Amino acid sequence: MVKRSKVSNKKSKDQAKKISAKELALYKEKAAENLAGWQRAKADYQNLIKRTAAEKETAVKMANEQLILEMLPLVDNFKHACDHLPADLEGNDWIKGVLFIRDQLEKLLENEGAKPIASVGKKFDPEKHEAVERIKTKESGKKDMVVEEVQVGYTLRGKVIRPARVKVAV
Amino acid sequence: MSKIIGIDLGTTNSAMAVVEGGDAQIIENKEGNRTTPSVVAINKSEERLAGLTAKRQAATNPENTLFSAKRFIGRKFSDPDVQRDKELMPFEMREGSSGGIEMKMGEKWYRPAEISAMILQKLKADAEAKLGGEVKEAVITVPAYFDDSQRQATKDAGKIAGFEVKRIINEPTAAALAYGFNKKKNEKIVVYDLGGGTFDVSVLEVADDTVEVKASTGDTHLGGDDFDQKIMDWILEEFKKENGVDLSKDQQALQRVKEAAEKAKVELSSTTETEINQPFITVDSSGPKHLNMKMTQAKLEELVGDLATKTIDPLAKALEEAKMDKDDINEVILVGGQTRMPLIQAKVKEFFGKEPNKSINPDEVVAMGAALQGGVMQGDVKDVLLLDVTPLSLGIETLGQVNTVLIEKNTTIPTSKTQIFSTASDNQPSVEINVLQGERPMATDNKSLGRFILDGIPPAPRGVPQVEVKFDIDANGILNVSAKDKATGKEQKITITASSGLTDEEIEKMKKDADAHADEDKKKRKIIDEKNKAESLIFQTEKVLKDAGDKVDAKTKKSIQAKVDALKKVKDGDDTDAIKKASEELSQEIQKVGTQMYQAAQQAQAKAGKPGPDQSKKGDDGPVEGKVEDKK
Repeated sequence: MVKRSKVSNKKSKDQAKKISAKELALYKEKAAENLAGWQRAKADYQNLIKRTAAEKETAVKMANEQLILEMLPLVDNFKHACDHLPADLEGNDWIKGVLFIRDQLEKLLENEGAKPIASVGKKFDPEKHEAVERIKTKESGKKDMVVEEVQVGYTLRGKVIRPARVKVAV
Repeated sequence: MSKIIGIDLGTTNSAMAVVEGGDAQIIENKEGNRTTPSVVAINKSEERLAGLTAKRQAATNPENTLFSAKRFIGRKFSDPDVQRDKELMPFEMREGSSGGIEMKMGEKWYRPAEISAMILQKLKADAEAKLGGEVKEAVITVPAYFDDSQRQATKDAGKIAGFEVKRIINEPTAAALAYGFNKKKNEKIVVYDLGGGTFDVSVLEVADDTVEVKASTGDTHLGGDDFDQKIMDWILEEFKKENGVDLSKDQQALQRVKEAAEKAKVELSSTTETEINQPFITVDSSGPKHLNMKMTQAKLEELVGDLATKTIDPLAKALEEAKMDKDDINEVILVGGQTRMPLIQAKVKEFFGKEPNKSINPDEVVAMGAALQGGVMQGDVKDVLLLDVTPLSLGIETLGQVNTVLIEKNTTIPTSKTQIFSTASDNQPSVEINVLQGERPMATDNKSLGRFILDGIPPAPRGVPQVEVKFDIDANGILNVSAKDKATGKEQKITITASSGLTDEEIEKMKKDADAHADEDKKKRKIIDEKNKAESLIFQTEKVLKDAGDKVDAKTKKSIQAKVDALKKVKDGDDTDAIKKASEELSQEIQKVGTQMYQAAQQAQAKAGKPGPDQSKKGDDGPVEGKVEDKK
C-alpha cells in the first residue's frame, strides 16, 4: 500500500471542492427544475382524474341528450300536422290513433327528463329562447314578451338542449 | 400558478384551449359548448350579453347586436374592405379618432377592440369557472395577413378583457403547432383554412426557432355558408317545380329549409345519399305541402363544385408568392369545418399529390395550437419531456406458444407492468422468458426481442410456483424485463435497447398483418385456449381422483375415466367444438366426486354426532393470475 502525501491530498481535495461548487449550483438548479416538472405532471394527472370523473358523471347524465335532440323534429312535425288538421277530420278515429302515437312520443321524452320550455306570455329570456322575429306592438305592457312560439324548446334535466324559437313583441 | 390559455378569436365563432398533462384540451364554455359565437349585444334593460345569448336575441335587437368585429379590428374606416363590409351590417358604424372605426351598441360607440374584448371577457370568465382558478394569461391567434395595427388592436382587446397577452400568433402557425410540425426544420407547410365565412391559405416554412409565413392569400367572403346557400337554392327550386310554391316567401319554411340543407351537407360527408324530409313544410289553399326529396353526394358535388374549384386559385397564387412549387410542400394541414367535405379533401389532395393532415378536429386545431404555445412558454411542453408511446405491444410467450401481452401498443412511456406467471408441468425447475414484440396472438408470428432463463425454481406441482415478470420501459424506450421467483427471491433480467426492435416500416407492416390475419389468429388463439383448458382439467381430474381414493365408488371412477379418455382423444386435434364439448362433459362428470365426498363426510359426521361440513366453496389451487409457462 502506498502512503499518500497529506499535502497533495488536501490540494486535490480543494480542487475537487472548487469544481463541484459550480457544478453543484447547476445540478441543484436542474434538480429543482425536474422536481417542478414532476410535480406539475403529477398535479395535471390528479386534475385529469378529477376532470374525467366529473365528465363521466356528466356524460352519464347527458347520455341521451343527442338522441333526444334528434327526436325533437318528430315532435315538431306532429305539431305541424296538427296545426293543419282539416276541420272535417277532427273526430276521425284514424287521426285520433295517430295523435295517440304523438302522445306516446311526448310521454317518452317526459320520462327521460326532457321538458318543454314555457314561452308564450313569458318575458323573452335568451338563456331559454331564441328570437326569430320581432313584432312591433303599441302595448307597452307587452314589450319584450314572447307573443308566438314557432318551435318548442326543451330542457333535459335542467340544461337547455334546444331553445324555444319565438316571436318577441318590441 | 395559473395556466396560459390559447384563444382562437374567430370572425363568427371563438374557441379556447389549455394544456393539461402535455396535451391541449378544449375548454367548454358556461353553456357546455366547445365554441362560442363571437357576438355581443346590449338589450333594452341595458344588460350586456356575449356569446350564445347575444346571438339568440339578435332578431329582436339587430341594431344593438354586434358581430364580425374581427373584420374591423385595427383597420381604418376608409379601407375599401371596411366600406364594403359595413353595408352588410345591421348596426351603425362611423369613423372614429385618427381614422379608426367605431361601432354603435346601445347609446355608446365602441372601438372594434372593445367589442372583441367583451367576447374575450366571457371566455375568460367561463375558463376560470371550468378550470377552478384565475386565468390571467393568454395566447391569442390572428390571421397571417393581419398587419401591425390589427395585431396591436387584438392585443389591446385582450388587455381590456383583463388578460396579459403573452403572444399573438398566426392561425396557420398555431395549426402547425398542434400537429407538432414546428419541429420539422426546413419543412414547408401549407395551411388550407375553409371556415364558415372565410377562406385563408398560408405557406409556412419552419426555421430554427420560428415558423415563418412565406405567403398568405384567400377569400374573405367564401366559406361553408356559401355551400349551404347553394343547397338551399336547389331545394327551393326543386320544390317550386314540383309543387308550384315558392318557399322563400315563408320565413319559417325558409328557416327549416336552411337547417335541412346544412344537415344534408353534413350527412353527405359520410354517406352517398341522404333524405330531406320536412313534413308540413307549408300550407296553401290546396292543403298542406311536404318537402320530401333525396339528395346524393354526386348532386351535392355538382352544386358546390364551382365553390370548391374557387379555392384552388388562391393555392396557386400563394405558392407563387412564396416562390415555391407544389412539390416543395412537405405537409398540408386542413383547418375549418368545411374541410370535412370529401370533395374539398379530394381537391386538396389532387392539387398537392399528397394526403392532407386532418386528424385533429378542424374547428379546434387553432385553439389547441395556441394553447400549446402557451404551454411551451410556461414550461409545460419541453422537448425533453415529450413522451413517446410503444408502437407495438410487448409480451412473453406462454403455454401453447401464445403471445401474452403485458404492455399494450400505444401505451405512453415511461411505464411499468408486472404480472405473475407459473409453471406448465410438475417439478418444472426453470422458466424461459421469451420477450415478444407485435400484435399477433401466436408467439412465432411476432418478433422475439430476447430470451433468458430463470432457474432454481423449487419442485412443486404445476401452477403452484409464482414467478413475477416485470416489464419496465424508461423514457428512452429501453425495456428491462425481469423474472423473479417469489419463493426463493432469485431473479434474472434482460435489457433490450430500442435498436433491437423494429424499424418504422416493419412496425407498419406488423400492424397491417395483424389486422389482415385478425380472424384467423382469433380462431388459432381459441383452439389454444380450449386445449390449455382441457389439459388443466385432465390434470385436475386425475389429481382429484387420486386424492379421493376410495371415497368415490368404482362406478363413478369408471365413468369419469371414460370422459377423461374421450377428452384426451380430441385435445390434440383441431376441432375446437369437440374439445369444448368433451371438456364440458368431463366437468359435469367430475362433480359427482365432490357430491360423493361430501355425502361420505356427512355420514361420518352424523355417526360421530358432530355438525355438518362447511358448505362454503373451496379456493382454487392454481396461481393468483393463472397463466402457465412452457418448459423448454
